Amino acid sequence: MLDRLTPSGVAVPAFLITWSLVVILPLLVIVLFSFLQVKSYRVVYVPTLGTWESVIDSGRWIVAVRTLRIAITMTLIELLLAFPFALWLAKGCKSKPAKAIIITLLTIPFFLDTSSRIIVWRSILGTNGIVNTVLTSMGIVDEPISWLLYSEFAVHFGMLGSYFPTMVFPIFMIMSLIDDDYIQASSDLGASPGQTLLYVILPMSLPGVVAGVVFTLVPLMAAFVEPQMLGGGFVNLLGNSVNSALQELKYPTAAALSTIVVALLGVCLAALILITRKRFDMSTMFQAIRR
Amino acid sequence: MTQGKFDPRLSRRNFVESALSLSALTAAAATLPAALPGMSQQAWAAGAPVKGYGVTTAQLKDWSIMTKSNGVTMDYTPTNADIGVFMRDVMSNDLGDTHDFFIFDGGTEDVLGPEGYYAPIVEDHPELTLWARTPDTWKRSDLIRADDTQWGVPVIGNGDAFGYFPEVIGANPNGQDEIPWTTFFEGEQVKGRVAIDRSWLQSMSETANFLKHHGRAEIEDPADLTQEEARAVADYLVERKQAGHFRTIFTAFEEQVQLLSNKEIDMINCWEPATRDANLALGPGTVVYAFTVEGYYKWGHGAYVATAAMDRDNVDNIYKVLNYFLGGEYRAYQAKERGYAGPNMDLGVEYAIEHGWPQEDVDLLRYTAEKVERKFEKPFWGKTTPSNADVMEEEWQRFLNA
Amino acid sequence: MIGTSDLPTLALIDERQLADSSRFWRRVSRWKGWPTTAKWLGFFAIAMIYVPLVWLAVMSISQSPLSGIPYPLTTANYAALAADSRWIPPLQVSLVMSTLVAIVCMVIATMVGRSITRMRRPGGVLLLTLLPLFVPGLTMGAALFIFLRTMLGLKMGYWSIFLAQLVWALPFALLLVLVIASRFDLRLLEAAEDLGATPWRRFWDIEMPILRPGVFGAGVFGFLLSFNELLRSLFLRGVETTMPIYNWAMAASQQSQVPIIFSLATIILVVTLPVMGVFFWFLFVKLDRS
Repeated sequence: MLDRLTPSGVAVPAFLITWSLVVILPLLVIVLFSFLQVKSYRVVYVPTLGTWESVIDSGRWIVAVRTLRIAITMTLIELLLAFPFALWLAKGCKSKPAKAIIITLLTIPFFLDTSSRIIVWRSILGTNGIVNTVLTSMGIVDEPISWLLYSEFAVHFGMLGSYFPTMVFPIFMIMSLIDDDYIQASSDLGASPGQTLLYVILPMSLPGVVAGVVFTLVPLMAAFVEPQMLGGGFVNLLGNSVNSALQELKYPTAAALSTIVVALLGVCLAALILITRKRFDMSTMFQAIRR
Repeated sequence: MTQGKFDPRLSRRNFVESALSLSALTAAAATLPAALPGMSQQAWAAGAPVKGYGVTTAQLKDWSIMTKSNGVTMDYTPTNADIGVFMRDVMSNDLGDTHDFFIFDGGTEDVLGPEGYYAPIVEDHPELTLWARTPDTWKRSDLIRADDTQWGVPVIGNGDAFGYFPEVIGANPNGQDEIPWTTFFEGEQVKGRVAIDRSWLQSMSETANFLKHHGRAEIEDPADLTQEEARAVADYLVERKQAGHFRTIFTAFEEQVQLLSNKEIDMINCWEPATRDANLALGPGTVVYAFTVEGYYKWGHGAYVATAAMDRDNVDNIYKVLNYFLGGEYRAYQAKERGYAGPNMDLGVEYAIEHGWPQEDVDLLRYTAEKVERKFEKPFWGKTTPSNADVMEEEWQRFLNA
Repeated sequence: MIGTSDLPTLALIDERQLADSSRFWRRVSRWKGWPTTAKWLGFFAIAMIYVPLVWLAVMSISQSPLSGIPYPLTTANYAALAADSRWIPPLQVSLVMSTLVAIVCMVIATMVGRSITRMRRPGGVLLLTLLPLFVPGLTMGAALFIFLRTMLGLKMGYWSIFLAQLVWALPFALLLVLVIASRFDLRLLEAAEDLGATPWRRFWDIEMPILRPGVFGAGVFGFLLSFNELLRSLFLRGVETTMPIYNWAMAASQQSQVPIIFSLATIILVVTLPVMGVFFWFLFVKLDRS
């Protein structure tokens, strides 16, 4: 019976074939490029491990690890901030005007240029900036705190606002769809709020959480502006390093770095699936409800 | 399914969907008011325009000034100073089929000239009237020549050094002192308050020249470092970085201006216009762009004709444009807008006087000419496409990651 | 109906764990302050977005916006914005391009998304679709460039920018549709079929209204991702210019663009904030009351 409800079996295969040809195939080609080398802006079509050796030798591979570390840290921070907030917004916030205002405020940043938003932090966090001026004039510190700007701290700090809305939206969307009756029922059956959260709300909002993580982690991995503007060039991330390589048309180096990142992410994902295997089956998360 | 109007789920769902569709509408609405009053830039263009592709630094704010003076309309596709993007576009995107000439940092002809993408300059072309009077320091510069062939016409150029606050290092506030690069790299007065450019072409060459000048490293050509030389330069920079000498590594022009005008740093190997912009906020003469002891990083933009364009029928117009870059009007506007010099500065001064520009603008033009003359006396090096680019870039990454 | 529980497939509840949960955790979970804490955490993040924005607006009427000192005040930056019209054609290109990407995203994401939720194990398909997102943008651009230009010999232009932006935006769009579609109860369609509805009516009258938030979300994200896309377009632009490419090119012009950029950002802020505020207020307060 349900089988006949399956939408035409064409959509997914057709999509997959096109996708593989247009996206996956070019990616495989460029991975092969990492076994070539570039001299004077020309690709030398002789297989070599030279690129991989120099990526390791110059410590360039570190940027892949550093990027992942910062991206995952920030994603977790945003999740911790956004999940309770989305829950409050969807279920706890009874004032409709307030809800309207908050959604408005979260939508606006998407329209504005990132660099101009971020560059402003520099005049706030700098050695002669507002924070340091206040701290020194109140006698809390003797001399300006220099690590407020051009440090990993500054990069994390600047990212905090930028990547918050993308985490809130998908989670808020799915929580709005959770029927209040379930929460009520759980409570009527004697579950504590914590249990309701853990066993009712969390599993039902999981697709939204996963979407939120992807929506946040992906732009974070590509973060370009914050490390440059607030890291002062000391926090060298993947985007900057790939850019530098491609300025010399070093496709092989860019390919090698990208391969390292995807491989590292693959390891993280595999670990996550293994760890959570006992609790739920990830591969079936996005299935429609059948019974 | 029933759609009762008291069904709470319905309103929730409608909310999300209306919210989302609205944001799309507003995105369009937000940009519309700004879009209405404008007209297509090419609306006035008549006849076959000359199509250029190149850096925005060489761009006039309004090309119609040129049309008024030599009758040629310009259709200019701007690009960034990203050498990789430029090389890729010229080599692999057949830009010669659609564009007549390119403007980019001199040096690209080392690769693109001999490979046949650029056509050699026809020095006796009847429209190139100013060529003969253009001084050799500009037109015979190795930045626009390769293999004894003239591939480009000089457009603008400068010798880059660094900006500084005279009172911090106890220099003469008139800005005429020669400041050594030693202060930039090792000065105790500026320790921890130096900003260095993220562009390795500039920063590595400047460091290499400094080390070479003081005999601290064996270096043949500061602009084109071999593997060992690059390693030595990077080692030195890593040592300085770990000693806490640098406050930041910058990229964008806006960053340079901000670092200076906030007084976040005391010294910065920035571009000259950044000191000018910073002084708008700080007052004239607060930041000085240095004359140095050891020398300058030389750069210059060249205009190059696409090989394919020579077979088309607007070669005369292309040469009119090339000639325009050597003339007084272009000189005067470039110096006024950016403080950059170029060939035939005297014509620029003449133009400004003839067109009744204010005295301060004329003085600025005169000073720009003198300044460049003075810099030319020092060692002066720079390359956009060094043959060892790959190893230099890799060593620079070691510095960034240290 | 939408919220039908699918707990058995998602979480295997351990009964003992429920019973064993200590008194401490019980007390923590009953703490009345949780909603307030959640609320203020969010407000903190929102403040982090708006502190720089307010500062930016102040600086847009400052004579030297980058100095951090607001005085002296001036409207010169707005005059400069009005006088310069070079940024308008790229903006128009970007608006049209993003609208197209948004529409195509909505159609493909709906068709593919609803089919994926009917698959037995959608994990593999999903992984393959999301994979390109984690490849750095420039590398993806380079890969497409080498493939389309060097290997297939095609000429770059608007079509290739469109393709690159679609490849970037589609996985996000698909994910949004999936989030909503995974809450969809297939029994609804079964019931409709029993009542004799045609496949098209079943899709349009029953499935579509439920999927709509996801579909519109797909469109909005498609629009915004395409509108701000730079890294891939850089490789596939040919000689065309979009708004982000224009900004990128101007960044190297060695003339500060900041006065113009700050003014433009402030105008957008001032226009979008009240318009959207009024709309959301209308949606929540006016419509909901009836």
